Amino acid sequence: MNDAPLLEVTGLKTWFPVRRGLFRKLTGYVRAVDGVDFRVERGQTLALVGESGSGKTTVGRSIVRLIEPESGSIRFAGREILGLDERALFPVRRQLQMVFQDPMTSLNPRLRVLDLVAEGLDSFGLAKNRSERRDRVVEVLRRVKLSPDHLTRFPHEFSGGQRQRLGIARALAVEPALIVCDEAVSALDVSIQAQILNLLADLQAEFGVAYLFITHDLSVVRHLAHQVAVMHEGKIVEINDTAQLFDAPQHPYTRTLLSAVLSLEPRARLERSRTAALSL
Amino acid sequence: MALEVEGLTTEFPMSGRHVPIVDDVSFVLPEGRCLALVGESGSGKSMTALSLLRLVPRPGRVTAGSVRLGGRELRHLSVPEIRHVRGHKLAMIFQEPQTSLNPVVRVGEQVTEAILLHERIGRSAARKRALGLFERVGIPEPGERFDYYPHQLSGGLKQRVMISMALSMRPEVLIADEPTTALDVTIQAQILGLLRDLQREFGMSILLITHDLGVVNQLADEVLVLYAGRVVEKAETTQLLSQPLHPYTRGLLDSLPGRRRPGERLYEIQGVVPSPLDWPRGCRFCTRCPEVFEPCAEQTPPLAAFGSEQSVACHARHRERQGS
Repeated sequence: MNDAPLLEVTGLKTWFPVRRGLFRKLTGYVRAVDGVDFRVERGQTLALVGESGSGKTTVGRSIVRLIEPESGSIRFAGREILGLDERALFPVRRQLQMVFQDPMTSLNPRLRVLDLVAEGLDSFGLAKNRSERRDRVVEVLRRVKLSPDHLTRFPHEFSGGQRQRLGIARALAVEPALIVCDEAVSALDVSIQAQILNLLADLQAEFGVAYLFITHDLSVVRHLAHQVAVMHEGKIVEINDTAQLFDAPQHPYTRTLLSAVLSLEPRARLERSRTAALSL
Repeated sequence: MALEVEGLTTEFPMSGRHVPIVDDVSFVLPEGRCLALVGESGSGKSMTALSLLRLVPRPGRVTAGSVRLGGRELRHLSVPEIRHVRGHKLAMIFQEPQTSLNPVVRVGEQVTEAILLHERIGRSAARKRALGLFERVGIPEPGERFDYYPHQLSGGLKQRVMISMALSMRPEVLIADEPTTALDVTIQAQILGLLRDLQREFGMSILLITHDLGVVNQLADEVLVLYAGRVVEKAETTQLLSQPLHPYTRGLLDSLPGRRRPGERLYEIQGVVPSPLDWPRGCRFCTRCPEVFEPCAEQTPPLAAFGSEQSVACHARHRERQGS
């Protein structure tokens, strides 16, 4: 089984029904994800990039089954998980965690840190007793560089960067093989973003966790991804190793996207012809 | 018309004290130029802009300094006078255009109303002018879009509507607060190009407020780096990007993934921006600074010139220069 890629997605389609009128008559579908194929190898990072409305977030949510896909195949460690019911899916969920963009809205404001981070351990029965539960939470907090003093605090007592560390700690506590990061650093100030990106790299080196990294930020992608898939209007228009994709983009949309990246080289301004060509 | 700001200080009462959220900020924005205020959240960059316009939310208050536009002091104008300045001389656009547009009024109507509010012309003349502005800011099929409601437009188009409204009075200075932060990269590139064209065409000055040094590089001639309410560095844009002097500016640039080789470790500025109640007495960056030494915690470093195009407020830099 271990020769199989960690995650292999084929022909994934997620459509949203459009209903109109008094009787909510089905009038059509929004094809948010319209047939995408990709794989994520163990311990590697695949970045899924695209602009708003490209379907990248829907792909992430379909994989962790927060949304039911229409059709296709999602094989996790060689096993098809798309047809599984909630009960059969449950053990897979431990392996497949998610970190969201806005840590404030994804953490239960009434739980203290200990219970927030232990939630996964509790669900999957991973701690034999209270002291082991606490020890494991302290260990995970240490890994994400939060102090054990924080155990009894509530989410609102933390800064944005610390809350994102909590979100990562929650995912990490159950020792997953894959973490889907949906715009996980987009809401953070640059100095804090650097801390979180370094942390994600450290965790990958130490635990061999793979990331499906969903973002609109191409400089972040270039920095951390092994491979990149570019999404546009529900489809992947190009997928390649990161260096190759940035050095020799093939698809016109990828080229457009790359040409809009703002350089930090002094005086490197976007050419007029370029920006004009981008007009819709 | 130049905008000259000197010693601007804005205080908020917090826990029984008056905390200077904007502390002794000075700069000059010459006519037709673009100056950027750069900083992370809590640096006071947006509050500086609101202070200029006299729009500081209560219970905050501008307590010191002067704001002069074309030599005229704005701080002591009467309410009707400052309103006139806001429309005609200083206009502002915001990060999220949807929150500044009325959701139940057609966008063309909103721009027309703005023109009528400030000028004594007939409705049809105002409408015609608004339509011309829609065309100028690059809204495709402006005649048709004129009758759309804000929710029917994309983020980029809504920002263009906001820009057209700001331009309707031909302001001397456009204050752009994170104008592209909420937009997709390709749309961001278009809006930055538009702002640059309009600046040239109208001879307008732009005060750009942003956290993004990539955006600064596209638009700004000069940059002010703010940290915890104070100016820590001021420099011509290329100078700042190629030779930053303040440890905070250096840290910010080094923490950007775009400046490193792929996979290389990013520089981390230790810790977090302290709450205004915990700001150190001396240099406010001293608790996070890798170059901290004994005067830093106690004495505020003055903003001193280094060459003709750069100034920095840092004891370590001042010492280096005295040593050499």
